[in-house]
Amino acid sequence: MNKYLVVLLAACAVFLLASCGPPDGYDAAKQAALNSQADAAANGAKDLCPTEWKAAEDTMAKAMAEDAAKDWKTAMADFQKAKELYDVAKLCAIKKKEAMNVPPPPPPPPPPPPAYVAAKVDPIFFDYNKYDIRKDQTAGMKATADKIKGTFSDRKFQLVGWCDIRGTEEYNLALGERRANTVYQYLVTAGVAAAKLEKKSGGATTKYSTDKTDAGYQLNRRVEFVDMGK
Amino acid sequence: MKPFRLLCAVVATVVTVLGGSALFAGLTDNQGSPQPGGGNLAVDIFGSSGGLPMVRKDPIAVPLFINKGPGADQLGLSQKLADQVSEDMKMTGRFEVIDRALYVEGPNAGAAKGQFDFGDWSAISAEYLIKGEFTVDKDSLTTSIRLYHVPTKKMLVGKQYIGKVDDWYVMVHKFGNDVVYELTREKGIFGTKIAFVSAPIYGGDLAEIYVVDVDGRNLKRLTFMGGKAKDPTWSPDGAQLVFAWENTANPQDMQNYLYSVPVEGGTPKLLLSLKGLIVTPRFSPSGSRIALGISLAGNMQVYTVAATGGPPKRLTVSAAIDLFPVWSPSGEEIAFVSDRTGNPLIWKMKSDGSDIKQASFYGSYNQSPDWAHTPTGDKIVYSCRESGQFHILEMNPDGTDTTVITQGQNFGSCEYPNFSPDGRAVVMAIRDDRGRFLRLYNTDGSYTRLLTRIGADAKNPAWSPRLLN
Repeated sequence: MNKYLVVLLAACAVFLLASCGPPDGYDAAKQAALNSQADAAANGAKDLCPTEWKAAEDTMAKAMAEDAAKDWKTAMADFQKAKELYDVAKLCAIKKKEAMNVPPPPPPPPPPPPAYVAAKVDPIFFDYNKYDIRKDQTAGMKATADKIKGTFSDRKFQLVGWCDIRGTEEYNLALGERRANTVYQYLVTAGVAAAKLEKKSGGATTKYSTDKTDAGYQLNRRVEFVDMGK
Repeated sequence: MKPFRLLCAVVATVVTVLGGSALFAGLTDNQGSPQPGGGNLAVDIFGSSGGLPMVRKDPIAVPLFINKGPGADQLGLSQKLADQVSEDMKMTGRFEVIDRALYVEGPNAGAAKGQFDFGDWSAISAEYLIKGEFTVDKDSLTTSIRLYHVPTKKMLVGKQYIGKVDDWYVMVHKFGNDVVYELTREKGIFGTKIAFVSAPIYGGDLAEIYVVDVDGRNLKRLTFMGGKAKDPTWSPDGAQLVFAWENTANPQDMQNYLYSVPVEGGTPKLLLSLKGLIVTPRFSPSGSRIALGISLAGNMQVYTVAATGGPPKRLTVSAAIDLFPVWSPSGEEIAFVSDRTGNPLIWKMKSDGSDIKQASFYGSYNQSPDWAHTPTGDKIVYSCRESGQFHILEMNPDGTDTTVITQGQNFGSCEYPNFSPDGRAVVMAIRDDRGRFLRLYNTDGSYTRLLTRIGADAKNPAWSPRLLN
């Protein structure tokens, strides 16, 4: 008789145990709460909306405690409540992020085109009150012609004739023009296209030296080459 | 209104001869004074320096003018009139004005003959005496001015002038002209003007045309073009100024221009524009043509153009730099600067461009000539660079009798000499470390005065023709 009683009791225990487990949908509710928790955390709810996040966390902790105590019914309700609170926290975080949203920085500007480097051509110097090419300038004149025909063949140049300040303004204008003209004629004879050259008189100047000495005056008696572009 | 018309209107009435005829007989030889520009100025070209050339001047006394009006002399005209008469007499180069502190005449003496004692003036060695009276009636001024020859006790000039009070100095200038005419039978130059170029902003690449009376009054800016005006020249009637102009405000503008502008002011009228340089225009004596330097294709040559504009006509055909043309008083010849022998010197030719001859033979850098009829005949003045600075030289048109007229004056570098209408004086541009300014200078060294303040950046002076009748 004891033997049958033990079997019966065991069967009852199994039945009781079976009848006291989590209700239908419990696991889904719990998993949904965990998913919402992860989602809210991914959106930064903990930092952006700490109040909402804490409310959800507290409810989740309570549900987990109830789960451990197998208080299925209360735990399931709290899991559902925790999910809703996590969703609130997540939504709060998304709004905060949108509010803080600044336009993305503009794309970096394209690199500038390489800077135009003005052609540097050495000036031709003249004697006082003269406008012929003196002997010590002939090598420089030839080198200039070669440079303008070669390296700078794509450039146009303005030839500006200058004088020192010792003469009259009118005569110096004419003298500066003659100097520019002399250099122009040399270059054209040397094969530089006339269309690439423009003549101008600058007249008297102290642009290159203000020294009232022979050396200072010499620096101002010149034809300057001004790069006028391609 | 043209300037001379304005001046005519100002001095509405001139009543000649107060109490006697002008007596100049026996005095027109200037009592032994040397003729201005005479040979006594001859010095070695760029030789040893000296002071002012010795020109004998006649002592003249100019006491304060007598106020004959009922009211007090609130405008100080008594002294102003006497001082301006004194300055004008000095400017003739003939007179040495005696210091008023030496005068011994009493306060009650009058101006008319018989109202004063010639002995008071012979006592201080005055050879000439100018006495003046004036009356102010509201805005109207009446002056009576007399020139006496003290040794002979005779009145040489007696004039009455009526005009506005503000134009008191015009009356003085008219009297000055009358004095010069009575003593020399030449017209005086008082009341003339000087045109010149100056920068409205110092140191900038801008220059405008200005005009000032030869006594320093009435400075007026004539142009407001914003570029660089150059080389003004007067039309012979004194109504227009022609000048070269460069558009320095727009470096891309490769054109150069020739404009005329009324002396009374107004919008400049374009006479010529071309791609090349235009410099040194100069009216012909008849006023029909203008000679000038034009550079086409980089070759500065002398051209002429009609005074009303039109195509230029080339006069010189050379490989040299030819510019600074200036007409002879007859209009038959033109002097100009040319470097055809290697250095810029003065050359001359007939006004059709023929018969070119070298005219100057001193120095190696001659510039800016002017040509006038002077008391000693036709003369050419020009600037010559020597030992680092410019001097003013005068010569006969054939190059003979060359004299450094600024010898020993320590004026600084003297450029752009331009004759007065009587050929007795020049206005010139001085350049030194303080800048550029204008100075008047009698070619015989008998008178000089700054016309503009030092450092005024004034240059290219041009003396007007006579403007007072």
